[in-house]
Amino acid sequence: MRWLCLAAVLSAAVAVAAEPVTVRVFRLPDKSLSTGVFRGQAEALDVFRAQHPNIRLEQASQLQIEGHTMDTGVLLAIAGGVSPDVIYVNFRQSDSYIQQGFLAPLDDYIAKLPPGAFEERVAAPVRPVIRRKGPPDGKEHVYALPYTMIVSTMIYRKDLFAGAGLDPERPPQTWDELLAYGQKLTNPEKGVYGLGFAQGAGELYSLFSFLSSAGAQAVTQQPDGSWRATFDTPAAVDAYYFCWRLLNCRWNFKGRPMKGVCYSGTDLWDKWAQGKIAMLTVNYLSENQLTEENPELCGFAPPPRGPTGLSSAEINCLMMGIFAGQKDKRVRDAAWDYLWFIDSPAARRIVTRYLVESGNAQLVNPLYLQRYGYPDLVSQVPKGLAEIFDFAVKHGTPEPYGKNCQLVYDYLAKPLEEIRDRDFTGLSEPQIKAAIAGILKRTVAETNEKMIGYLPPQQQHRRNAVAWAVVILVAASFILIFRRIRTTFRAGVAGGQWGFRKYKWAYIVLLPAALLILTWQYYPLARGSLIAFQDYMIVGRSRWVGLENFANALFDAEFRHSFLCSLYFMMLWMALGFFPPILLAVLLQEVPRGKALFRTLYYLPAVVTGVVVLFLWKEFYDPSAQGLLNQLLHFFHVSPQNWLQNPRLAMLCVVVPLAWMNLGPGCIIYLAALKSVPEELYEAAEIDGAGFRRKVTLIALPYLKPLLIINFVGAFIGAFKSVDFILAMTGGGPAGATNVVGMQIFNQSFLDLKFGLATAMAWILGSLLLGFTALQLRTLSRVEFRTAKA
Amino acid sequence: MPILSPIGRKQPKTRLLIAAIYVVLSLGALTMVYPFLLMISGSFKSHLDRQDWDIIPRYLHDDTLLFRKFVESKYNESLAAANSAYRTTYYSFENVAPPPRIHERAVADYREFLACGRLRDDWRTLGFIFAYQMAPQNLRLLINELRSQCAGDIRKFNDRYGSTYERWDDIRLSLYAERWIDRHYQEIQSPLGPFYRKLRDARPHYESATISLDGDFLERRICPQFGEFSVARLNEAYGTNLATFADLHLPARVPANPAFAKDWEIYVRTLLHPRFIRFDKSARPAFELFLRQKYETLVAFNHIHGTHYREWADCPLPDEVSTAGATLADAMQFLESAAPRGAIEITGPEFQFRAFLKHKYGDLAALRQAHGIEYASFDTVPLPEREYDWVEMQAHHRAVVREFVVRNYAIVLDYLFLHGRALWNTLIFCALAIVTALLVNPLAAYALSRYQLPSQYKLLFFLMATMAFPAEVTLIPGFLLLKQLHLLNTFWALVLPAAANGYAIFLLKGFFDSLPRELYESAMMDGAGEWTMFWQVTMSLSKPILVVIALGAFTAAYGAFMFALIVCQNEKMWTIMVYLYQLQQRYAQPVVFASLLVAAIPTLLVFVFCQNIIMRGIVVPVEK
Repeated sequence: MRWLCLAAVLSAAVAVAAEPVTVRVFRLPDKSLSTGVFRGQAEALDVFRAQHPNIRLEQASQLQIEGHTMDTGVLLAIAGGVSPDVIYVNFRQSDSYIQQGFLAPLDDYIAKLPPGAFEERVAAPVRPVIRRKGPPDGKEHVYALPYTMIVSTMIYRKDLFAGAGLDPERPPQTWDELLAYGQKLTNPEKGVYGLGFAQGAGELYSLFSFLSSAGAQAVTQQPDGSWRATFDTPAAVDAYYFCWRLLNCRWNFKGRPMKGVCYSGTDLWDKWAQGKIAMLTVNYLSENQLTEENPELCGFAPPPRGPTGLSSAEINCLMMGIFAGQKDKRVRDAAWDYLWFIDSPAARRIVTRYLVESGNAQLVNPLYLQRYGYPDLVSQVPKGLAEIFDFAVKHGTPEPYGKNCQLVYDYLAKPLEEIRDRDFTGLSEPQIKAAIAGILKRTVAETNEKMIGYLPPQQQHRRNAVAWAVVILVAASFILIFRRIRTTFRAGVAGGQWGFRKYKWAYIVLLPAALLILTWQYYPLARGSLIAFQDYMIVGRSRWVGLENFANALFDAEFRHSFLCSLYFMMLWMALGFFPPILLAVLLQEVPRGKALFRTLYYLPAVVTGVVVLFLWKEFYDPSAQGLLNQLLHFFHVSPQNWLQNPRLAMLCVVVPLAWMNLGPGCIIYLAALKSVPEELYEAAEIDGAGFRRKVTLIALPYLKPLLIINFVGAFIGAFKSVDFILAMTGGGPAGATNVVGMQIFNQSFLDLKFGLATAMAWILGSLLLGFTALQLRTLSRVEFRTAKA
Repeated sequence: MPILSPIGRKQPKTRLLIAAIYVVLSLGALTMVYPFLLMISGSFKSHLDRQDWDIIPRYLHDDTLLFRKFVESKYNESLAAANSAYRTTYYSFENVAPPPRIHERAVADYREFLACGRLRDDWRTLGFIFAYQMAPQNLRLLINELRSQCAGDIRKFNDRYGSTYERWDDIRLSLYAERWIDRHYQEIQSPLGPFYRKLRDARPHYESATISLDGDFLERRICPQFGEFSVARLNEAYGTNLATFADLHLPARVPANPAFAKDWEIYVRTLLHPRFIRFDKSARPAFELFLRQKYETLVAFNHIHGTHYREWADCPLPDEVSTAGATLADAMQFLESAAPRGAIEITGPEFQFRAFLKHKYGDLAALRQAHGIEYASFDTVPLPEREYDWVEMQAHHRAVVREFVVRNYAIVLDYLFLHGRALWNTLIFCALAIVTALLVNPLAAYALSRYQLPSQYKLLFFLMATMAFPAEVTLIPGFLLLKQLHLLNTFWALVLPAAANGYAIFLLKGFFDSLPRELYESAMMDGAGEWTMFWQVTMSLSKPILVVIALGAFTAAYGAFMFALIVCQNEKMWTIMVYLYQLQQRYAQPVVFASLLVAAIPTLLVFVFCQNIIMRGIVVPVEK
């Protein structure tokens, strides 16, 4: 400690003259957190501050967008020009970050390190992950530095084991045992689940440990350096099959039929903390502080052995890099100082000392205890924990870090989602496995094509040819239809000279609107159209790819599927969202009293901002028995539903709140229109002896016709473009059941960063809707607008 | 004008029809209002009752539920903490039951004990400080206190204390309830620690939970070993005859019963926090031997401890709490591996309470009579925490209910009004949006309508043609343009891109066309200029529609969050909606409901008061 202070004072004296530099870091350790390692890092940070008084560290956390992980926040921050200088990277994102040019090469800094320092800091299995070929020159560079290595193990609750009559010191060793233990430990009376199975968007960690224990690889690197998805091997089939059994096996608890032994809700970790889950096959041990779980209460074990006797789970690293967009050399240098220091031996020593002095020696990596002056405390570490850590490092499988691997979990999850609720009763094991193998093969091909971007060349040529034809067709139809619209607009008007001189004032008054439209609509449109022909990069330089984007969009099965989804959405929306307001308006028109009150009541949902209504409904759709709708069903003796998680109900569940919200505002317009129907018409009909129904169909509706047509076409086009609501409700899931076109475009651009492909898709959508847009414009040109009578 | 003529309304058939319409409308209205009411009710709830789905929160009239919520908050949502205080084995807060009987004298004695100063401050845990994604009362108090330290400037606070919070709200994320019972628990450090402790000592006793070693022993040693529901297995192992787990009491010294002694030893040696543990003098030789083995030489010991002892005998026995550093590490290691079990003594609230009672009553008979409980001995007197909690909750009924009612709204308002410029930004944005909506489009529409330009169809086509293109195409380039023009994080970015709208111009032109032409002619004859004509003829005749446009602009600006967030990522530019959107991601459902309701107030007021104007200003297409 004393020498550290001395060093601090000395370096402070040197740096006195320097001007302060602010480095923005994605996250800094919190001083007040009383949990070990963070607090230790905070102490290390204090030393860093003392050593570098001219560096001001500032935390710059990312924006959060509902339903998306940290990745979107980084992209937004980078696009918005507010990126932190030090950004967080993990294995699966690393390739995208490098290839997109977000990360600055660190070679110059590393060259200045004392010999051996780099090797001490970066463990051998991690070196290929951070040393990659990439921008700015396509040569090999180091782009990031790890600051904590983490490995996955199995963890279980000893108390629940004891309660179920199992030996707390003997965790399940094989897959079959795991399943048997899961059944023994599940106790619905106490709300205890045998196994936690993390799944869903971005959380496929459970499956991963089974895949690696079966000996399967998600992606493998080819000799030429390119990547291929390989999770369709027999080993992978075994893993998926076993997961299916965990989730679906039928058994009895005291005569009660049970399905599966897993809990996989979003509150999985809360349930674990509450002691409602007996085993987790995924639990991370980290390099400096092995675990935060209570070793008295929890047992640790390597993941159960797969069919071939292999036991392997994930290895990962938390890493950081310097944002390439930061061009100020002083800030970069300061960022490097931080990057290097935070997990340097000096910092590790401080963290270790802190952990030991705070009585947490038994959680510290024995290697660190040895290295940083506490060899006598090594015996404190619970027996076996360090061995399990070492075992995991030795036998672990690194998280996939190949091309676009930030998406790899989504693709790995797809087959699981597909088979999860599949009924395989009556099929033998080989038959089920064959079915799974088929699904995996399909998904692997899709992954190769879309995630990795690999397509056999002749296939690509064929696609390009088709794309040419389609694009020419689209361009031709655009031109044709525009001519139609122009003639419609012009109907009955002769000439059409500009007459700038004569109408000088008119043009001057028109100028602001025209300029605004030119700048904010035409210019982006033109520029956006170019993107469709590029492999677009946010930071780096984009590459021209001709029609490849269109070709890939046209042959994308998911994109085609998304049209069907959009069609379904549109039909539901027409039935539930378009007609009810008309009916409501007619009814409201009839009531002699209380019209204003009803109007207000029906308008209530609309005063709550749009997307927010969906959050409310999301709560109602809670799939547990406590959810509002399920309680309602229970009242009518209907069994609880999965709502948003059920592919067959999901779309309906999205549309209902929208319709609910739209009822009031929608009806007001029709109400206004109904009021303007001339009274004499009704009176005349009355005299002719027409009843209510005839008056509605013969007078009211024809009078509303222009409005109906305009709204109908508007609703139709709108339904195809809508995306916000689905994004907030389901994000396109489950199993792609609500993956409408807009959603697909959003995903391609903001999650996969394929802006070119997304723009091409948007153009295809636009050209398909073109006919309707033309119809809309034509109808508009034939009507005139008046305010309704009060 | 209703379609059913007023004349026919008296007929029974028509009456029936109208009645049916009322029924349908009322049912429909119910489906509109009911979720809304649920939301209002939900905004007053906590995790415990958030899924009750009732229109009036039940805790307002149901004391049992109120008690459960009180327990949930007091024990900071830790069921383990509540179970250990009550020596129960509930598996959810929903099952927590009020005490079956109140022994008033026992509770009064307990209260007296808490107030008399025998209870160490760190033997209790402050309640109402942590709730997952919520902000209970003491957390709010703490943050307010911190804020007042540096005039609400978080940067100043960070500079002073070397912390790294971006907003005050972040402090919530680094505060967990104290777990003094956990072996390796460290007290909360600076900067929050001292403030936290000051608050704990200042709050009334009933807001803090006293740690019960008896309960903790059950919770962490007995139940995991014997299973929660089988006292029979415990009786078998110990050879005892206990009716419930709660009858088992942890003695200060190792008990004689060998099975019990084994559990006692494991609990004390490996689970209990060292501040409840003492060594008596008989541990001395063992301790010296331990130190000798660990350090080998006194020089090494002195080096690590920074001391100057001459002999091993000088090294003090760890008796008073060893706070940190090597001394603590020694104490722990000694305790775990070398301390003779006969030399270990534990202390804690129970022992102090029993001593207090002994002092007060002298003999067991008097105590039994006073409390009305047949205690077996002084050593089996439990802490009457559940009864105490119930009594205190009743005594502070209003304050407790008030806290639950106010809690979620307090944090929402706090978030809105104390976070920089949210209100101001919203105001400016809305005003700008309304002004541009009333100027840009109407001006263009006026020019088209007033002059009937020969080129007007070309122009209209130009203005409206982009409607045919999907918005996604322009999304990214539009954003890039804003960036290149350095308009990101300015009000321009919010207003300009949507300022001109071809469709709106078209609608307005159509409407202006329907105004009588003669007005312009007479105005011209009166010598009116173009501006006067625009303003006094066209605009003043179009008031209703303009009001609707203005209201539309207001609601759109007020409600925009996604776009506003993306083009103005700098927090200084955030509007109310953006803040609320961020809040929704950080807080639990009940707080979200509260935020939604607060946000809905302006829009609701506008609609309720302008309903008739809106109805008059809606434009309807009519065939030419």
